[in-house]
Amino acid sequence: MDLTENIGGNYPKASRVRIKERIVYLKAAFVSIVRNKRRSSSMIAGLILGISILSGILLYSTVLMNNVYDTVIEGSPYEIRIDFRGNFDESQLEGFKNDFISNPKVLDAQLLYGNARTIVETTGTSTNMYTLANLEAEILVEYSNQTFSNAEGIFFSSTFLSSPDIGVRFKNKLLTSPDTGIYTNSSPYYHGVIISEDLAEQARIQQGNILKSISLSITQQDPENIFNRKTLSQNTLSNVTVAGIISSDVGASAGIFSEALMFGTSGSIYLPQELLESQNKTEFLTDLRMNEMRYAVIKIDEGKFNLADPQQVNSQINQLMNEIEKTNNIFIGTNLVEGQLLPFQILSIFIFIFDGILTVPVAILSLYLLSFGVDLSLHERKYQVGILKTQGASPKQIKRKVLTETFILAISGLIIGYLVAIFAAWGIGTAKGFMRWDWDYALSELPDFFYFDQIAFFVVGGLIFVILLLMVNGKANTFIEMEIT
Amino acid sequence: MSLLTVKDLYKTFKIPQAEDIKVLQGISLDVDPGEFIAIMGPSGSGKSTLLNIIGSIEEYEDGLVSIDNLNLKITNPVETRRAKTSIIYQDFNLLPYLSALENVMIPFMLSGGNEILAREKAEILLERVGLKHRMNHLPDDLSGGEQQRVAIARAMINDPKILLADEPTGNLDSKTGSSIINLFKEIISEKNLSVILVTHDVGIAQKTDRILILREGQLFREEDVWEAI
Repeated sequence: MDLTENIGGNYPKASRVRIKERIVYLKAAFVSIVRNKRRSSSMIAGLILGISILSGILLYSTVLMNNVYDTVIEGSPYEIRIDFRGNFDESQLEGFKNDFISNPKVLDAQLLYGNARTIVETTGTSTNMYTLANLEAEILVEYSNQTFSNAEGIFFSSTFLSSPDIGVRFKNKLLTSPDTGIYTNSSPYYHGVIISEDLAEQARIQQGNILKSISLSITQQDPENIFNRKTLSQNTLSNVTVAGIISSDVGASAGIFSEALMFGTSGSIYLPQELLESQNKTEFLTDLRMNEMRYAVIKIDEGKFNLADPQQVNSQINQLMNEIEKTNNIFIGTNLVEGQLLPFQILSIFIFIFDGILTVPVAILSLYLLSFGVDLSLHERKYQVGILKTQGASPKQIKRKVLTETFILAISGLIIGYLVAIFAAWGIGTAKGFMRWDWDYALSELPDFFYFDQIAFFVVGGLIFVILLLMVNGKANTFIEMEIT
Repeated sequence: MSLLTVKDLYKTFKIPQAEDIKVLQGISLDVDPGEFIAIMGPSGSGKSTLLNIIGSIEEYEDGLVSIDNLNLKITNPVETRRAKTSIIYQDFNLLPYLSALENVMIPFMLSGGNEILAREKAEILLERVGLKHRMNHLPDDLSGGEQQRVAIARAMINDPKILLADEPTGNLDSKTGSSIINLFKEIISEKNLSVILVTHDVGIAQKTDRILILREGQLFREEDVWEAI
């Protein structure tokens, strides 16, 4: 007799899997989960632990990033600065301004005096007023019978040093900074100058020397011919103390000493108000106006931009700026948000690294625990799987049963874990000290944490979910092969 | 024609770094519908292995096993377990987290059966084995005899051709054991199915139609063994 030949007879065909059958599987899985409490609770606890820690880290980082974003990006002016090239009367400038405002992405525009190379702001009190002038200064130093032209320096007066804002800040942050190597006797009752290392070397000037006289002229680049410079004002100061010598490196980026850095210019110097007054301030400002130092600040409509993505905001603002520039070739635009992007990016990288350092070991540990849990769960099922096998369960049915149960546990673990993560991030984020909360503040902050973070949920939860199902699938296959077929 | 045909059946357990154990060495057996057979033999003689092979739970190397004219070698074992055979064990093997009723429903539902129909059939079978009043109890709440009755009801739900019972009375007292055997007899007469019973209990075995002895891989009729002795 051929042992591989069928003798006859037939079997009922296996029923196709229908929706009803799936419902039966779900019901059976729920029954199995609820009634096998020990197994289910240990598995779901592992899931909740892994998901909550990982999601918590991401959630906390996201909130941290949002705070950084609020501080750095939202705090920056959503503005475009447009400098005009050429001579224009007020009516023309008003026309330009109205053109800017008519752009649907622009909220407002204002015409201001000066540009990046001229006066930016006036600050201080009425008695101690200083003008921050982004002008190039030409200094003539008379010392040891030598004269040096085109020598750059930073001037200050006794009143300047005692000024409550600029002067004190200048003195404290710069003159006494060990990094700059600048020294001052910090007496406010003298006129001083900080000169560059190059100049000091050439003139053999040392710190503390008193210069017989300094001739200061304020010049400006001729808008009509960039190779020409126009002298705006001139002054000579006598007996000026050399308060400090700036190293060449620092001198090369003298802009760091001024507010003007924020506007992307360099070589800025602070000028004492008295100096400007001695030159007749009104006349000086009129000179600036006469030299067409006008610019416009355009306030963009934030609602038209995707503020959630700083990079995108930046490129969108650049795009708008290009649009405006193209309307007239006399416009030169500057995106004021761009300068804020760098600190934001640095902080983003820091948070990203912080995430990585915390997330990787937790992820590895979670996966190890999950793998261990799946093994235990399958091992514990050995007896039940054996019974099901004898009662006519196919390997596919057993696998489906295991997977359905895991699926339900994973979904539950994902949701509970995510909720735990929200509360954990909230708890950590609002703590005022170790295990100390100001509940009014904490509760008011809760909605900020209680949001659906797609990255935290899908990347962490989804990833663990998929890994878990793949793991269970693989392990169940091996298990079923060994135990059933 | 026989319901079950076993011809020249060989089964060897291969154990790594040890000598192979030849459990079944050319066994032949015919079982007719409605027949009640007892298989006896010393421990480790291969009684359970033979039952597992007939129940499509274990594979075999050589020989022919056919149930209802279907050669098990080339038949899906899952389908055989669902439609042709049912097996009952000494320790009942009920799922502890399911009620008596749910345990009985399982084989029918695993075969693709409708849940409502499964429930109806299970209730009828539990009533038949005298346990309808305890159908919602978990196995742990039932006595050994009751659990075995649930196992019998479960074995009957797919209307098998052959009922395989591996020491079903081993964990029961003699009175309960006798009642289980009587239940088998009643079912045989009602359904005309065949029962192959593995037992160490001579008293139980004597209540069957035929006693076979499995020794050293060979199957003998009881009378032949006595003759040999």
